[in-house]
Amino acid sequence: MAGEQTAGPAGSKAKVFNCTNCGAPLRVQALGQTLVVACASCASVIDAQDERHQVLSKGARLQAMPLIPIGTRGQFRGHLWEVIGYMVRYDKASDYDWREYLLFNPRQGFRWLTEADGHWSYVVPVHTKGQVLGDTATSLNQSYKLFHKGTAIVSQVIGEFYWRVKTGDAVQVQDFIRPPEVLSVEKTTDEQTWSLSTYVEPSEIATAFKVTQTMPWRKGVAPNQPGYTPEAHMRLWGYAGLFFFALLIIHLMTSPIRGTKAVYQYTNFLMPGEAIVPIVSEPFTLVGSPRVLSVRMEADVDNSWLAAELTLFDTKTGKGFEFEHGVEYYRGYEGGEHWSEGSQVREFSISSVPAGTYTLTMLPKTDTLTKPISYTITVKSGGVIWSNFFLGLLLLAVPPLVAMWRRHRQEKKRWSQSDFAPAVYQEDE
Amino acid sequence: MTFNKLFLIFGLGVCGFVAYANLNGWAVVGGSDTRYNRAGGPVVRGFYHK
Amino acid sequence: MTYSCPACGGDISFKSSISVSTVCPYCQSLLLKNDQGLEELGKMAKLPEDLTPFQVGTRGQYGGAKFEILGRMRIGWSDGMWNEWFASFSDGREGWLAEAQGALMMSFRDTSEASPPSLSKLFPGAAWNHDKKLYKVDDIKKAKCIGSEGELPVAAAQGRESTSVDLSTMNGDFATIEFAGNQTRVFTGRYVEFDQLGLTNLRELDGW
Repeated sequence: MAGEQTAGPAGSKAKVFNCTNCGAPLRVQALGQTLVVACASCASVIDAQDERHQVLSKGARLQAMPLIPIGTRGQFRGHLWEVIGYMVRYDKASDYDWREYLLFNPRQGFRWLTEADGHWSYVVPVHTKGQVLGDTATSLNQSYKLFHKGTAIVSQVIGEFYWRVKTGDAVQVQDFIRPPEVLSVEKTTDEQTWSLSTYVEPSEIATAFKVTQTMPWRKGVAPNQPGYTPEAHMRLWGYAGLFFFALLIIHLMTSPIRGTKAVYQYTNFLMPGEAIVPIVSEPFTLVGSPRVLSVRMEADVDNSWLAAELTLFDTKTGKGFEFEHGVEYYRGYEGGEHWSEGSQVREFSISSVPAGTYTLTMLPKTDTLTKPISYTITVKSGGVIWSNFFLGLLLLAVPPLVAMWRRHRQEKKRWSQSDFAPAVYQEDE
Repeated sequence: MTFNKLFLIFGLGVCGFVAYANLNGWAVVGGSDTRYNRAGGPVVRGFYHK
Repeated sequence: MTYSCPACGGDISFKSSISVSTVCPYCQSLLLKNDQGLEELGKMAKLPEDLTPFQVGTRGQYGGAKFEILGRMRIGWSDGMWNEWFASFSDGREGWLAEAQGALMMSFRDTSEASPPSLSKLFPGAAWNHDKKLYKVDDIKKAKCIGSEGELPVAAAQGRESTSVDLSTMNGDFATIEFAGNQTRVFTGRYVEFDQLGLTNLRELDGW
């Protein structure tokens, strides 16, 4: 802005006079608007308008100094501001306190920075006021939820103010939240003042006002602290939904279209007393991308088992892939009930089998046979691996669920300090 | 990076991973007892191999 | 038309046809325009120092029309002071730019036939339906003119007392009903931001 300097001599044209009570130097930057100056040294509140500079009131001697010293200037949100006043207030019911910094710019007027539990907000007066209906306040077509109702009392003042403030001054306050904003109204018997606070990251304040000390640590969740907004949450579920469809399409596009295809089948009998010899299959060729091969074994075992040692030979490399397979089935009748265990059919799958020409060598094994067993070994190639798709779905569901849980936790923490928490966020008794 | 942006990247990763598994006939969880190993011998679990 | 100051003889001219008073820039006499010419009403004390960014001669625009600040009244009340800048608009309207507690309000002399409620019926929170808007009283101040500069459309004598009732709507509309002596004047307008007025020829502020 024309004429504004960032690091200009703080209040070079400020009016200076001495504290009537203790002689400490006092400054008035907002000439014409400042009514009182509160002395940092002796806590007296001095009349700034009248040359006699009378002592209007006195506060408690022991005072906490502001984190941002009076007179500090900073470029913040598009304009140059000077900190001219500092006030500490507390809530009558809970004794909880917070700090307020009065910002001044001769063209823009007054603003505030507030700090509570390490959380900062930038406060702007709202001339359009607001309308209260039960637990909600509306202003400019936005609605805010009641968070706090109470009495705010001034416990300490330092610097300039545009009204005759003194320690002990009390106002009725109501705060309505819509993170990152708070719509507040302060009432005295004669008037109502509305203001809108917006959450500010401590780092932005520290940079703008060149705070060299460590900013106070943030405790808990501030009433207007932005978290994961409901809108962002909806968007996340929207993305998850889109990914569901994308995943389905990708899954179908990358799966073998023809489903499973039997590439080899062998059926035989095992006769009692016959020697068991290994069987070598005809070669079978697999084409295309790697796939799942499933080897299905069926046998009419009845209270017995049939196992096989199988080797899948790659005819090109001559290397064998050995695996065991088998079926067992037992049943009986005991105590008036039929029972059975096992199955006559079993599938064994081998995944990621690449294209190539293979032979299957089989060596069946069993106990001493009392009766013949007929068995069939079928090799099937391909098949849609639905477990991959469902794994993908599960993975996609994790972030939205985590976000939901985190958001619920944050809102619970936020509303834990309020007497007006919505039922779903109320503390469990 | 916001949570949502990270999720978009994660989601693309999941889709890509599933596509890769499908194209390699790889059943990532269950449904498959062993994974074929060209060098010979089963790679993971499966039955006792002497 | 040029006049001559009855006190010191200096050249006096009025930039607005609706101005009725002015402060002589040479001898600080408060002059009132009447049928005979200029009448001296006494000396106007120097205004207390302030950090206002406005001055006589500041120009700007509002609502599509251009204005020029021709004068100012500084008003005091029990809890402070504020400035009322006379904004003379190119379309002849009498505009007032109020500068109070960091807020700016631009309002115009309400020339509609509607008569405002009497003071006895007004209190903080009272409602007034006017010009299809629902105003509510914000506050009632007993005000006194501390001083003035430049030309004004009223006889702003130092010490001129009035009761000022400020009202506003939920949409940022602003109104003032001023009871002074036996006169009641109504002004309606809006809260405005400094940056939306396109101001030029502002007062230089040392350090700002």
